[in-house]
Amino acid sequence: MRIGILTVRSRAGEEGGAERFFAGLHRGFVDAGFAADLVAIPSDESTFEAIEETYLRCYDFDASPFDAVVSTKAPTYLVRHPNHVCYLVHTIRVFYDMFDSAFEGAGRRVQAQRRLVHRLDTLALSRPRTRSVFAIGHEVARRLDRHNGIEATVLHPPVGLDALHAGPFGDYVLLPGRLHRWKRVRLAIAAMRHVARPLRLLIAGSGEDEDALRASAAPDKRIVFLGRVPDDELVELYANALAIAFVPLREDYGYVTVEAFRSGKPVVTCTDSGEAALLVEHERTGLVAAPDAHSIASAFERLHDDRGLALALGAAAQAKERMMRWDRVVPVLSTALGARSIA
Amino acid sequence: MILDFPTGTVNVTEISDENFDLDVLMQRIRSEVEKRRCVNQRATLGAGASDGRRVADEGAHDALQLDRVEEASVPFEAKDRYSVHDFLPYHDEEFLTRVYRGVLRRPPDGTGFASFLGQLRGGSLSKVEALGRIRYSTEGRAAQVPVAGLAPRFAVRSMRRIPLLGRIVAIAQYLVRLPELAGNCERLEAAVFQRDGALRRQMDRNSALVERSVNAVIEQSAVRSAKTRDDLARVEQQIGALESRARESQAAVDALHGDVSNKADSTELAHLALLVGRKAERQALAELSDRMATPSAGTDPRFDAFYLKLEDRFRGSREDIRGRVEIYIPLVAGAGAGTQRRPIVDLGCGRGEWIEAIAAHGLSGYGVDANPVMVADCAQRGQRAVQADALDHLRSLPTSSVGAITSMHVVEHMAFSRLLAVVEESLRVLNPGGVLILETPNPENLLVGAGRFYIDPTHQRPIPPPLLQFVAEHLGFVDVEVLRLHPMQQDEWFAHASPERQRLNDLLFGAQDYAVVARKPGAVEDEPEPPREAL
Repeated sequence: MRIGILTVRSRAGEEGGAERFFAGLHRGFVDAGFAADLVAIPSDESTFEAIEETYLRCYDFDASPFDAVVSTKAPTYLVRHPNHVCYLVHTIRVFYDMFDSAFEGAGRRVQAQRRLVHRLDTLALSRPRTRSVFAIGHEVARRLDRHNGIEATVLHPPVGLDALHAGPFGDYVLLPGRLHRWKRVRLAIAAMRHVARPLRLLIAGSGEDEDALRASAAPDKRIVFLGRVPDDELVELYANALAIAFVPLREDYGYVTVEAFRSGKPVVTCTDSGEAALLVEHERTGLVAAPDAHSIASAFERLHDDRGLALALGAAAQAKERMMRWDRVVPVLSTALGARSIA
Repeated sequence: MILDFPTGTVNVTEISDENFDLDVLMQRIRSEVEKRRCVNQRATLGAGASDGRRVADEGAHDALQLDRVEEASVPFEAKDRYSVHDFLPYHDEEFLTRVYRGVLRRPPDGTGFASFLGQLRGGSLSKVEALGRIRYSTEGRAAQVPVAGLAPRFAVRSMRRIPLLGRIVAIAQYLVRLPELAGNCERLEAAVFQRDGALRRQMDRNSALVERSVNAVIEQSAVRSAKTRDDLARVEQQIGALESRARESQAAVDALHGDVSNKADSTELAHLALLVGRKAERQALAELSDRMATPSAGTDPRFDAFYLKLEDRFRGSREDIRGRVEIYIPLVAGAGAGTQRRPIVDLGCGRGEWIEAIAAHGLSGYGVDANPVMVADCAQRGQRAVQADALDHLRSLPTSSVGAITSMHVVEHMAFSRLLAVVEESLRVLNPGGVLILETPNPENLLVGAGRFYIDPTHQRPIPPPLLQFVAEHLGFVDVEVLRLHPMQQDEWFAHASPERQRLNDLLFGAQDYAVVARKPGAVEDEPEPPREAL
């Protein structure tokens, strides 16, 4: 049984969470004894015309050499193959959850474009074109249900960094990730103003908001910007932290949460952080705070004052992460494809 | 962020018709994409192709093109001077147009042209008269274009309009010109026949072309509709086959169903018999091992007092324990336990730290302990505890009557068969969705497994996490999780964990205890919440 894993590659060729996901999924199938190929279809979402052409490329992709096909990100699920399941990363978000913020007061033409994209996605993801739909998280599944009326099974994928491990509980909260408006790093910085403990906030990552964030944090010496950190250093930063802060607005998946779990650390997140708020169970695997500086600050202080709590939450988080491994995910997908490994 | 998706002249495929299939939509998108490519290609070919003709149209069908009837005449030639013979061989519109362009040096205008044409066609004006009137109009005189031979002819022709004399002039003129007129007639006849032949040949050629094209179209559509008929027949055949297979499957399912319900009764009985047998066997074993167990609680008052002191010394301070058990609060509360109807039962409650935590969170529950000194200790603090053997107490409880059963640092005191019995009874006593929490020292930590475990003389044997987890799963619990708890203080750890040091850290300073958390299958039912009273 030869399995094709369909992915997209943008012109810029950036490497992010999704690319690590593709590689992990591929290796998961190979480790489970399947002959699997990773196929990248060129993608361009810069204009509506480019999106149409990308849809057409996926629709026209010749998948006949494969016995089974797993599609991932939009619009790879347009592929025509009798044995096809979709493990959805996400649809084209500017036409879904980001529509209102992307097109303020959209005109009739853009509305028509959105209708077309929704209709294409709905038809492509329905049976018999797609046998089953899986989603990487509750957020994605919920959106698919709301906009397309399609039911998806949530299948949390693991994170790519194998080296993550537990370690001693240090005197800092780690905030990893891109410094972008949607990640709300500003909120964590504001929270530090209300933290009256010798607790540091280490921010690992770079991005378009970096300068503004550095300026707003400048008076507080406990806030340290580490810039972009290589993977092996990041692993140690995770291992030695007291807790991990992850406070984005409506994040789809949030690899940070799972990376923290894998490192046996509790996660401080917000009620409106999307998937992270669903993955983190309050007082079980972390603390879920209201999205304001005071609530986040008291969560930080609570963990600082009660190491026992931090330890227990971290331990439960680590146990939970063990359930999200490729050797748990791949059998679900291959069963849906009616596939049996050759090994 | 405002995204601008410029769409140029292209229309978005309209999808007001909800019945459109994906393939139809994709075909539309394909044609739009191709159209755009065409436009772009034309743009890149530059202004040279701006005459509006298509530059590239791959895949377009050959268009049918018919020949046009050629113009028989000589093209008009602008000259300084003309003779009447430059104009007279032409007829009708062409004659008039040439007169206008030659004599007035301009293309004909609407009204004058139409009026002359009408009179010419009606026979009320001859060509010579028309030519003369235009030449000698105000505009014609101004243009001063010489037309040789016009003046006498026009004069004679105009004389015909004089009453009486005009008729005589006309007859005389015809008589003089008779041979010339006859010649004209013959030439005209020959020209008409020649033109007629040319036209007929042209028509035949075009008819043949049209016939060929139309026949090709008819043939093609016949082939297509035959193919469509075949496809349709095949699809109908397939549907028929599928329907009969579905009927067969249904019949097979019905047969199986009958079979199964017949067999069900006997299978159920056999299964029950097996269960009863296993249970009796286990009970006998448990009772036997109970009698063989080392100094057990509740039998020797001096031992009981010793044990209370021992716990004080080694289990950790009351405050420590109180803080540690806090993490179980969300677990039991999440399972709907701690109400009047679904109390929390703590087996081996000891000094009652956990019952205290339960009460502090407004939850209902009580402790069970075989040691009367412990029970008295609890009672003194106003906590509810009953003196009883854990297994005996569980057996006394009704089925599905308890929200959560907890037991901290107790199972390691039990003979293994007894542990099995306690877990099995817990499954019966718990509500669907209720949780069982068993905390015990973690022998994965070598310092615990090799030494500290044995400080307590009543400990039986260390229980590795996978064993306890397996016991719960085996006896029918679901969602069985292991929580590894209480690693040693970080100042004991080897710093800057390398993989080797990390491993050593785990082995020596990792979780000193663990808890197995297991759930009874089924969903927690909502219960009408009665006003919560303190027990």
